[in-house]
Amino acid sequence: MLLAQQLTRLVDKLLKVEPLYAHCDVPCGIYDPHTAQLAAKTVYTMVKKMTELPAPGASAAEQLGHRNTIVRMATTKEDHARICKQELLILWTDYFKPEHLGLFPELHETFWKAAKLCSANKQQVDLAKAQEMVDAVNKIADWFQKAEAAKKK
Amino acid sequence: MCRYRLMRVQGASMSPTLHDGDLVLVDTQAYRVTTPQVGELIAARPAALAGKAVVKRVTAVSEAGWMLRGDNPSESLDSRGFGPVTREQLLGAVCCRLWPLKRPAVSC
Repeated sequence: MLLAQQLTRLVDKLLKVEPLYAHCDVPCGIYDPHTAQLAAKTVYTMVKKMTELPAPGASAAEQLGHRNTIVRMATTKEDHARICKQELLILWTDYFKPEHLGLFPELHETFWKAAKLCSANKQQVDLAKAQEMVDAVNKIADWFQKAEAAKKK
Repeated sequence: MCRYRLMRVQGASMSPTLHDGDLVLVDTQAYRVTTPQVGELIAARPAALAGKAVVKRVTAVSEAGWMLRGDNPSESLDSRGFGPVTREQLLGAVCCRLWPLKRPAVSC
């Protein structure tokens, strides 16, 4: 150990300095797939709204209004697809453990595909893709509940 | 009990504001009368962390409590993980950095 580190430890001990954690890996053990589900549902709704939005009239004001609505919907879709992917990655890398592979052998494949669907839904306006994403996230949420139930047994 | 408490930052979730190893002063009486506002740096003991104290920034205030985030989201465990922090879990305001001296102090 470096002298400076030893000195710091000594000072902290003498002055009763308490650690103040700014960690990424303090295991709080609190996880919830709900945020991912909500985000996936939002993406689906935005895609549906975008595809069903009636074409604007010929006037400049209507054209502008239509563009504005589309941009707002696309922004919401983009944001929630990002949130969904981020939440999935937290569940994948932090919540699920190697022992869960016994229960769910397709775990990695499913997460990988679900994360890719989040990206696909950013790029495209495709209702079938959005539905696939919702289904994939629901499947993961179901596994999460099963894993939680197995923990309590 | 002394109003000000010396605490040593551990981890990188508050980078670039606070670094691993920084020594900070926490004012434990800061929120006796007022409450933490969005943007402030606070120390708290979230129930989920079994007594451990964390330093985070307040990002939102709701009826359920204060939502906290690290300044470095990719390196941070925060209210996304442990939920809103209640009044009883608040430890105090991080009012200044005492060490290292070479970097500017955190503003109150």
